[in-house]
Amino acid sequence: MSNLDVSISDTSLRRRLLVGSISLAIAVSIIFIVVAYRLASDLAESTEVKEFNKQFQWVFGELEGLYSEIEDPDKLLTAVLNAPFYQSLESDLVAVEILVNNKLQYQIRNTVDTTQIIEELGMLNFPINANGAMDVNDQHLVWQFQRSSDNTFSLLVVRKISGLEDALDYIANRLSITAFLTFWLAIWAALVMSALITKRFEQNNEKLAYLAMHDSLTGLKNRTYLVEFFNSQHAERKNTELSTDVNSSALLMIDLNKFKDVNDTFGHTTGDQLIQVIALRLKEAITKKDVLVRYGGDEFVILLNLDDSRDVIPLVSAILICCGQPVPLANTQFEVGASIGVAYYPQDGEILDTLFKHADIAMYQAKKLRTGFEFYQKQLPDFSERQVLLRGQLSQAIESQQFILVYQPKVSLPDGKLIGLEALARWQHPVEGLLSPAEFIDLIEQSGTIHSFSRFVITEAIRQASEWLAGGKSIPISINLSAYNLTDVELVPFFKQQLDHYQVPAHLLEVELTESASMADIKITQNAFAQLHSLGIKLSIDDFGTGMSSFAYLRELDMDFVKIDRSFVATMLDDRRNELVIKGLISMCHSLEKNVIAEGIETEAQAQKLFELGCRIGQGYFFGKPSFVSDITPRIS
Amino acid sequence: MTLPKMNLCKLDRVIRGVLSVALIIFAVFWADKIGDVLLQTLIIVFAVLNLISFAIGWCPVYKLANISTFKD
Repeated sequence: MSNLDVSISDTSLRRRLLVGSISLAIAVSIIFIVVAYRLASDLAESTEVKEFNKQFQWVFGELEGLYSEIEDPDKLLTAVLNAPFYQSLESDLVAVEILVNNKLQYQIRNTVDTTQIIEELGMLNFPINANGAMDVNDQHLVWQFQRSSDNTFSLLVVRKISGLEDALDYIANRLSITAFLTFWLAIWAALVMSALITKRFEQNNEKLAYLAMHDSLTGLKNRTYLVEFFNSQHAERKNTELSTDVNSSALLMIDLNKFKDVNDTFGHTTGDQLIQVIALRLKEAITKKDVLVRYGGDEFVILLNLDDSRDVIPLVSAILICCGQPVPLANTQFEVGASIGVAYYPQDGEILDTLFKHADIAMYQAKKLRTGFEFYQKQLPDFSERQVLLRGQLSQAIESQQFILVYQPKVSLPDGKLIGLEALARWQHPVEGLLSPAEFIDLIEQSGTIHSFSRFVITEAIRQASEWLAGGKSIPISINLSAYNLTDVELVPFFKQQLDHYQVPAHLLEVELTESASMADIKITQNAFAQLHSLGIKLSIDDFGTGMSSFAYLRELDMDFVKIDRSFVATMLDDRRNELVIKGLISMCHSLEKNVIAEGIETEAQAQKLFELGCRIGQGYFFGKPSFVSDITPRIS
Repeated sequence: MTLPKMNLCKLDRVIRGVLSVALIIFAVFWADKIGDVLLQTLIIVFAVLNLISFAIGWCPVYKLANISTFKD
């Protein structure tokens, strides 16, 4: 798995930072040394020149004095050599020469050759005073020349600048030591800074890599990670060329069954907490070799490693159990449960997309059959694939209004007078054609689009009622709701809002609730019924007699109609027991003061019989199929 | 107190040792060449720090910079 851990340790960045800072330190040191050296040498030279000037003026003054006292030039040299200033002449003065009439007359001191200087002075035509500098034999020399005011003599003095070298030696020493130390400090700083910057950079990179590969809510790996992991494993497997008969892994698609209810009833915070708890449980249920991924919403995916030929079924059962155990949250216990679809790699697909698709199909199958988990089977791919395809198109279909309502008449018995309509949804699928609820209601209930779908049905039915009202036709319309809708706290306000908006009286609206096994909590249903009743909406129980808790409903719920399931009606004439059941139902409902509607009446004989048994309202192909608005409108009086 | 984990290799330590001894000798015996007490002190401090890291095989700057030349 190490090849997947995205480690972006950019050593080149670090090296570049280091080289850059050290080069900068070297450059700064060099500039510093050069400037300081030049500054020091300039300073020293100017001091020396000033000092030299003083000495020169002093010698010049002394000489002028001697010249004025001694007339005889022959005695002059002796006088100079005996004069006190000569004794105290500093050794720095390497040449002291007296010129008369621009010709060298006396060399009081001469340790360097001055002909070059005199030549230079000659070229300048021996000005009143002049000075300059020259380097002879690695010696730095400065010279000064001056004529006396009465033009009797000129003085040329050359000085060796030795003090400058000493000073520079000192300065150079300290500068190089300082440079060495600062350079070292700079390297320290560069090392530390480059490390800090790189560390920061790496941290950010790691954070990004983590975010890219993980789900923020649960901290589990995400889909991107799974794709990379799978592809790397797939490549590895290809390289080793294992036999393809052995399944090396299994993809588990886990979908929580009642998560949407929790989310809708208790809010997203509770939903998120629930997901976190489940994620933790799943994490504990798998081994380190497996990959657990939050696939989105309430879907998890596990890639089981089957290298040690583990048995999948106990594992899947364990996962089912851990998902099914109650989750204590928000002062209550949630039992969500899960459906799991399993697809084997490479048996059920060599690429991840196929595996996902097949695991999804298996999961859908498990959901439909309520078996908990299913393995993908090749035998029934078309049907299931179509289901999966349709499920993927649901949201889009609701948005683009591909659903329409058709209306089936409800009539009074025995005269067949139209007394109401049941609105039924049809999906005008652009490819598949007109689809009946049997093909998509399950999908809608499982896909989380049930609320938006029901809102569409409610709005459309109320709008139609108002349209008919505007045309002077008043007829009750019943709509079918799913048990899932009752958990929607916004449902009743929505009804009220729509009724108000279209100005349709509430008694024209009926809600039919299918007796559904998923209707777990009768308290929620009771509560919803009471609220709908308080609006004035009529209520009925659909498909009565097929569910498990029919009589409990009769006792507990406050409904207006009971619709006897078509299965009783269909066999009523052949099977006397069914007839008796219907008879009993009708009499019981009457004593409970509830109206009975018989569904699925297809023949006159059935209608006649039901009337005899006391049923006063019927519905079925015998009285009219579900029809489009344009076909049914003329029948409404 | 336990010593921190070593992060210097042998060569690194030898260089530091030689350098610090050389610097201490230089700073003590050529003080007039340096001619500045502050510089002399700095050199000695630098040398002593190096001497310590030579002795224990651990460099705090390496630690901060997350570098290690240490080899088993």
